[in-house]
Amino acid sequence: MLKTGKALKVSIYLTEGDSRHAAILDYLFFRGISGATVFKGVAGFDADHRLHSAGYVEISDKLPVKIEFIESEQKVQEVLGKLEEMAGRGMIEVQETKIVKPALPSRHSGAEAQPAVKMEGKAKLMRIYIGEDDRWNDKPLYKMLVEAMRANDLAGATVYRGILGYGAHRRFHRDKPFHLSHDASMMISVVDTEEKIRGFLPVLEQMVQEGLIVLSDVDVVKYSHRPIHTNEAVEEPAR
Amino acid sequence: MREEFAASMLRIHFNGKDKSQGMPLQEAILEASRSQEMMFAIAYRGVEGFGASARIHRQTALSGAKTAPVMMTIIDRPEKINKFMPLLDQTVEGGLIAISSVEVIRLTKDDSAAGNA
Repeated sequence: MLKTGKALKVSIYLTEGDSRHAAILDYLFFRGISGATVFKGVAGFDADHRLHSAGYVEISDKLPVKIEFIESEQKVQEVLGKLEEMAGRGMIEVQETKIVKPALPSRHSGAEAQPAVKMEGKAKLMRIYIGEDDRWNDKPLYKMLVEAMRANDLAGATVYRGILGYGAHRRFHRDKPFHLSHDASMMISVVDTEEKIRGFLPVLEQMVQEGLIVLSDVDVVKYSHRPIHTNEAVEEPAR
Repeated sequence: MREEFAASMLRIHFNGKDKSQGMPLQEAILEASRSQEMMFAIAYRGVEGFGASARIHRQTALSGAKTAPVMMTIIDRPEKINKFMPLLDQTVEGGLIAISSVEVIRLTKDDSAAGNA
């Protein structure tokens, strides 16, 4: 949560048509940024000096869009690299600012994403049980959870579809032959250090309206991934 | 609504063609679990595996998914799980049952939470 005092204000300038702003907003949410606003301009021109405006006759889908958020310097540094990549040709501006009064969340959360660490030994296994039809911002929840985990650099996630079951609702899910039913129970499992898992919980709890989150202790014996070499053939699966 | 508590997780491994009193075992376990008002149950189908008989079970074009291994997970508070064990023992004739301690965060929509805990 933001505190009174020094902070950074980040502004990202985009055009509307490429819908990058939606992906960026999702990313900021997944990373537990304190808040962000998307502004839609009524007219403007871009780096190519093309003028975009909302005329009465033509409806433009290339109006300027600006995403603005205020965060601590540390947090901004954590997300800036990814934002530069996501903004494409858009411009990013960072300004020093001073918070006079921080916004107060209705519920206390201690979201602090941790940088990626090498993980072996004691770790946490988190299983998340939700319905296949559950949605977050009109998108399938299980897919968005995987996206959110990726944005937070969690070590990896796997989604399983149940064939039978009931959950928080005591609704009966039964997988009919030929996939007639589309409301199966889904399980997402993820393993990472306790700090990373606990750091992700506040975001997770905001995204899951109904479901079960189950944590247990595990020992990680091996965690490695294939190095990415573009001109080298992949030799063997790492796990 | 948000509840956080220590719980037990049961995992039951058996074969997809196993039955209990003529009923597919996964359905029999699910019925038993519902009759005891266990909080949560889910069954998954594996791709391949072997069990106590050391015979490899996998889905084939002829058998369909029926002979693949099945894993069921049941989660509830430890005392509920302990009370459930005798009935589960009766239902499952051949298979493996594992139990582990877990920490649970349960999220429910506020309107359905009343009187449903």
